Amino acid sequence: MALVRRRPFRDMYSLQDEINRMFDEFSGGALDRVDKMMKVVPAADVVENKDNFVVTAELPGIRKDEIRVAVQNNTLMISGEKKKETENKGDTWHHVERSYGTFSRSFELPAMVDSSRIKADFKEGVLIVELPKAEAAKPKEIRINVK
Amino acid sequence: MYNVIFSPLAARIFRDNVGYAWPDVDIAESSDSFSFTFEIPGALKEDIKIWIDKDILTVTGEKKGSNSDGQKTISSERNFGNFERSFKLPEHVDKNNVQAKFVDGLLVVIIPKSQEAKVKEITIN
Repeated sequence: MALVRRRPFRDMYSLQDEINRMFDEFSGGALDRVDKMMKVVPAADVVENKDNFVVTAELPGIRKDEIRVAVQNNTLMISGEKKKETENKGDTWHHVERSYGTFSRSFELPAMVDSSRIKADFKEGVLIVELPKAEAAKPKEIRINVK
Repeated sequence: MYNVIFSPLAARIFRDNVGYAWPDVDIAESSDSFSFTFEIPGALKEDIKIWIDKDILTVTGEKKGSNSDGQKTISSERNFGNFERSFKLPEHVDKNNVQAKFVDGLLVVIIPKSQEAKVKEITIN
């Protein structure tokens, strides 16, 4: 059995830490955190099937012509700018969780892709990029004839 | 847990500490209405429900993922599943004329102010 050092005040210390952290949030610390939270980082899923890699990124409220999709070697880059929709001067913002501004994400795929056959589709705020694997990267099935 | 419309800070901390309230929403007020804009990219219109009970606006729904066989996940960041968010509305809103639309992954709910809450411009003679 391992010996565990008794620290009867540990919970109290951690509570103190928690309180300190809360006060930090109300003072300067909060601004940094908010700044980080406000950065536009579109959530994306990357999946692989037999022939393709598929990258699906969430870009709600963005116009198609404001998105740039580029590929270099086996890296897919998605960038653009997310602007506030129609904004009336007299509006009061009570609550803002959505983030706005420029964004840029790169996805390095685990194998080479055929850049001439990449397809991108943007519907209802979801960008789907289908990247066919280069012939050399596809799994090859070798038939072995058993005599 | 309700996000009281006029206390965004509390809602922020709640979201940060207790994990996650989603989808993200912006709430704006114009001279004649309140608007709620939710980001629900990839959801289907028919999977979203909106209702007002007394002074609480609730948006619920399900975002379904497309899970096809024979695919391997390399990385996964998007949220799927059920969601629910509730907001306490201010007094003097016109609950009978609420409008909602779902375009480009954005759900926009517009709640008009009732007559007495609208800003009246008064001309000084």
